[in-house]
Amino acid sequence: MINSILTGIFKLVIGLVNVILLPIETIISTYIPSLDDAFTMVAMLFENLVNFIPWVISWTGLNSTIIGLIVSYFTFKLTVPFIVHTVKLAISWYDKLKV
Amino acid sequence: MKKYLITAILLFSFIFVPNLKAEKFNNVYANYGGYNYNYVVDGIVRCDNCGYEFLLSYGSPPYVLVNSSFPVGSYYNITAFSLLLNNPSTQNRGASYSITADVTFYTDHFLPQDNVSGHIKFLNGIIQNENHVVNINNNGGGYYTFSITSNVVLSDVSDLTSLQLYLTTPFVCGNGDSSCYPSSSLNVTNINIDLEVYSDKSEIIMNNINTNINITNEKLDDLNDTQNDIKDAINNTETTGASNTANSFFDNFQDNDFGLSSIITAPLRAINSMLSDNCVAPSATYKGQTFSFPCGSMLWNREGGEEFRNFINVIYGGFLAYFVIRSLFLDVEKLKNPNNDKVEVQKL
Repeated sequence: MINSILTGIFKLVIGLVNVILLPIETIISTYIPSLDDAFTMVAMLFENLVNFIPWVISWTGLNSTIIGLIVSYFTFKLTVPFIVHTVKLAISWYDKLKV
Repeated sequence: MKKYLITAILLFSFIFVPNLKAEKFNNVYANYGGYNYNYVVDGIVRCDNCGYEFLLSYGSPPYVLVNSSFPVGSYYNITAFSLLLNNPSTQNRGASYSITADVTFYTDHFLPQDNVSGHIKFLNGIIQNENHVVNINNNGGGYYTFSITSNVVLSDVSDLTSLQLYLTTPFVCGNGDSSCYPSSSLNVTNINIDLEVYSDKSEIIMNNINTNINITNEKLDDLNDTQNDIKDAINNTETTGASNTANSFFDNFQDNDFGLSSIITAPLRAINSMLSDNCVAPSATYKGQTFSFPCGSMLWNREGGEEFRNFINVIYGGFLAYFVIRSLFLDVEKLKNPNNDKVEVQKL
């Protein structure tokens, strides 16, 4: 269940990034095709590296529950300060508007 | 509370009402003038209008094989009950009987729907114009069958002057269609008779009490089943369905493969791939030869490998839990420290 939620969140964020960058990607691929090729090559390199990760994990013997626990903990740890700072920012805006 | 009250009445009746055992006539003899227990029963069933005579065949419960065309508007006169009434030993005694008739009919106007209801009149000496709505089975070729049952309880068999099975022309109405069509023929294929004469009138009361108890118990059982279902649903810790729903919900989120966005989202893809167990064996080609590197499942799927893997994961999990809790504790301490400006309380 935790894995499903985390995977879904990551898929959602990746999809949103794709949507946001789609106009830029289109401009680059239209007017600077060589740069687009370079980006694509780098992306393919990352893709190969990403595909290599499950292979490494399969040899370590770590099961998905343990990995999910690690990822969820760090997600929580890095998300909480972000939320706190966001709340602080909102409150400071509210204070300024109130004055 | 109602259940206890009925049980108390039942116990009281058992103590103070004598001679409650019923005599059940579930074996009516097949021959003319046959004897069944203490009562003479005429085994003839007559179809008055069509001129046929049908014997009660031997069996439990007794039944009559008719297997001939039954003209519309005619009826079967079951004379066995009339003879039973004439027996002095049955006077002032209660009785209950049920009659079930299996009927086949033909019609040209039947609609193609499978479950169609028809209205059948089923008359006897006590209940007049008892209309039954029955489910009709489509046998194909214009032939249809249905089964009809009548249950009667008499406080005194002397009330029963005659008994007639009266089948009118079935009117068949199609689903979603307001028009109804009469059938062109009617054929009774089987009649089941189950007669029970009580040895005492008080047995009728007992029978009714037992019936009420059974109905109450059935309702209580249904209530208990419902409560148990709710409890099972609450206590059910099976979350596979929720997990599948969560997975299927995110299935529609597609990531397009763009160069720039793929670079930016590479860390997220890396974490996402960590969470999946889908290991794809990497391969490399060198001087025309392809080398494949097998996944770790080759090792862990061997005999004893799974147990060893579980043991390693317990060790991993222990260390991980320790560091997670330790890190969480330190984070809380930092939050409590007012000198740490990383997370500070906003002054309002």
